[in-house]
Amino acid sequence: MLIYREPLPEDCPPETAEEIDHPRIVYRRVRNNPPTDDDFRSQRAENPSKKFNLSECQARGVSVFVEREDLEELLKRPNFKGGQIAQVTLDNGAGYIEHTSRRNSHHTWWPLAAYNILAVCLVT
Amino acid sequence: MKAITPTAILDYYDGVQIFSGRGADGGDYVGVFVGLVDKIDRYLVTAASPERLRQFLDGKLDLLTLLLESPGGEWYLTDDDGEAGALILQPQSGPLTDHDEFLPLPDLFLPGGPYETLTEQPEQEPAPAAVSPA
Repeated sequence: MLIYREPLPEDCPPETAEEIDHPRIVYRRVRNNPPTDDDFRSQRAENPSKKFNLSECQARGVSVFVEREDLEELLKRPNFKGGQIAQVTLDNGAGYIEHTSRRNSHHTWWPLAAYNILAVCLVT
Repeated sequence: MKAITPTAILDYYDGVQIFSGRGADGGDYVGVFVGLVDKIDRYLVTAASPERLRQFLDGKLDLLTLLLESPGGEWYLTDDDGEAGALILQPQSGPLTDHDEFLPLPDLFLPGGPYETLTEQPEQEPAPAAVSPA
């Protein structure tokens, strides 16, 4: 059984998600430099009792972008102004990932518990 | 008390960042997540003319301009969620331009393309343990 960083509902990640089995770079907005575990918490972990108008599976994933430019645009939003960008290397054992936008490179990532995120991320 | 119903997710990152919505009066609204205000997750919401909202959706108008050109100049912060996915709006006083903390930076354009229409998701109980994918 795969152990994820956060408990997931049944059928999550979805069958359409891709197992990460080769190196790839993604970008995530972080509050801390160097990043900490808190920078990789899902919105469900941040808001345990909140009702979300989206699937519980997505609420328990972590947002990342494949294109850095997309994340730079994100930092124009009021809640993210002044944020920092971390480059994260995903490789075999990182978990599952799915492209979850039809308009940009937003992906949802479901990390495995054993994947040492902090060892492979760097604020750039 | 004014309430709107979100109709489409326009921008998503660790939650809905920007959405469009419809009021009981049939008017169009746009909301942008501003973070915690008084310990509650809040969205800044303004009315939007159909034409200006369309321009925003087409990537031809930036979010800051859309918000500041709101018909009537009224602006709101969302309160706790209402019933059936509705958002309760609390009217705010004073010009929106005095609240830079709620405003996006200039030149925030949406990329073109289809938008995800909001549909009510069935409530799911928190998962008690990690599971493997199907």
